[in-house]
Amino acid sequence: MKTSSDFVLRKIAGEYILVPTGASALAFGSMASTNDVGYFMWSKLEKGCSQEELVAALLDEYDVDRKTAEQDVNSFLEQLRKHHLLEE
Amino acid sequence: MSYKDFLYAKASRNRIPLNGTFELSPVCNFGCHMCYVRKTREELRRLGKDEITADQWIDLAHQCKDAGMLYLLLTGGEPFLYPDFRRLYETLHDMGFLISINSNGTLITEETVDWLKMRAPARVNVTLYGASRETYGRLCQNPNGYDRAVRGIELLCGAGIHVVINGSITPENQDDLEAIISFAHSHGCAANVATYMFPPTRRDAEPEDSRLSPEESGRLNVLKQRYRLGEDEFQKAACWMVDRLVPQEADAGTWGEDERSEMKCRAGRSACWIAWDGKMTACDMMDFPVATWPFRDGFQACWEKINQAVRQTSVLAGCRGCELKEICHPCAAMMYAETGDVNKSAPYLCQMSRVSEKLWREAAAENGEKHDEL
Repeated sequence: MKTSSDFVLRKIAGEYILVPTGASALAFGSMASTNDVGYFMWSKLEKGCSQEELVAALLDEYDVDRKTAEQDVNSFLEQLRKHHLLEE
Repeated sequence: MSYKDFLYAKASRNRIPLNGTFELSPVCNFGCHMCYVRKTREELRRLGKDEITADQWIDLAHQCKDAGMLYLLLTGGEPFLYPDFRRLYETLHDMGFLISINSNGTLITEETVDWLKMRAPARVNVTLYGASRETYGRLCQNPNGYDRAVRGIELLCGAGIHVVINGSITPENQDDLEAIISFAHSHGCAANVATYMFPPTRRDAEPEDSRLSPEESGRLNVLKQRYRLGEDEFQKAACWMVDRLVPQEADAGTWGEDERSEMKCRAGRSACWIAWDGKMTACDMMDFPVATWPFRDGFQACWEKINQAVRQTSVLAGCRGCELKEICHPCAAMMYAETGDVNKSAPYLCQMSRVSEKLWREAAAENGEKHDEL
């Protein structure tokens, strides 16, 4: 799976901001923000990866247990799907 | 604090140009007397000046993006008349700017809206100059402009594109104030109507009658709130306002040297303006404290120069301690345009605010009488 190519993730004033481009801009509205972990996961998903690869990447980068990493990935993917930010 | 305000606060603290304006061209299909930008293409030719090309704007936009710009306003003149506007807009949108467009609305057709829907702007600010063909003929020298602007607004609203109705009130359209606000409300749009016009710092000569008298400006400034808010909310606003018209002595502490030592708005702190001739300033209404040339010297160097100058500039000394600041909302650009000095008070604004104050107090007193009757 990959993030939608209709969104640009920008880092501005220390904040991570998702800006809709293309036809998504009309339905999505203004913008969305995310945190460091969201930025990390988005960056992996931009290049394309599986859910399990995303969990593995989180476990490599952060000192967390598998259960926490899986919960974070599930929750993040759920948000992306809800707002049509994911291409599967 | 909204997320947008939070972002601006962070940007100002960290000297990031979060907001920029590209004034693409002075060319417009209207001929409004009070406009400080407008030129015909023939006038441009006579002056021997060319518009900045789309590729030059795109190159500058990459520099702006690297510096942290997010909000980008495209204005003119009439931006839809800018050659290569669509290619420029599409490129800027795809780069990840949140774009607003200032327009008179007259060139927005069904086909334009279909194109815009593919990359919707965050907002289109359409200036409505009046509520009839007569007013448009008188003010804009373009009577057909009214019908075309209304059609443009309705097409944008129908497509779900966010529209704000702007207004500039002058002697030629002051009788349309209520109708302009009413039009905005009936189309589900916010109305942003200015009853104060700057004197023409960017124009060669000022036609004496191009703006309202200070008395009329002050009166209409209050009247527009009555139209905008409706009677009940207006009465509450009047009480709120009068509560804030504090005596000078009590106010002095909150307007001390430290409080007003710098420009407090976003201009030059998190926002900048780049005019059609390539000049970059803190805001569009003044060259002060410094004007720079980003197409020649690069955006970042120009931004740093403006930001530093703004932070070192003391302004509004002439307004310190004034009890009418909630009405006047004085800014450096207003004082500079009115008097040529950011630290002088401006007689036009003082008179305008005194008239507004009187009307706010009368409205608040009316409200008090109503409460007494109850």
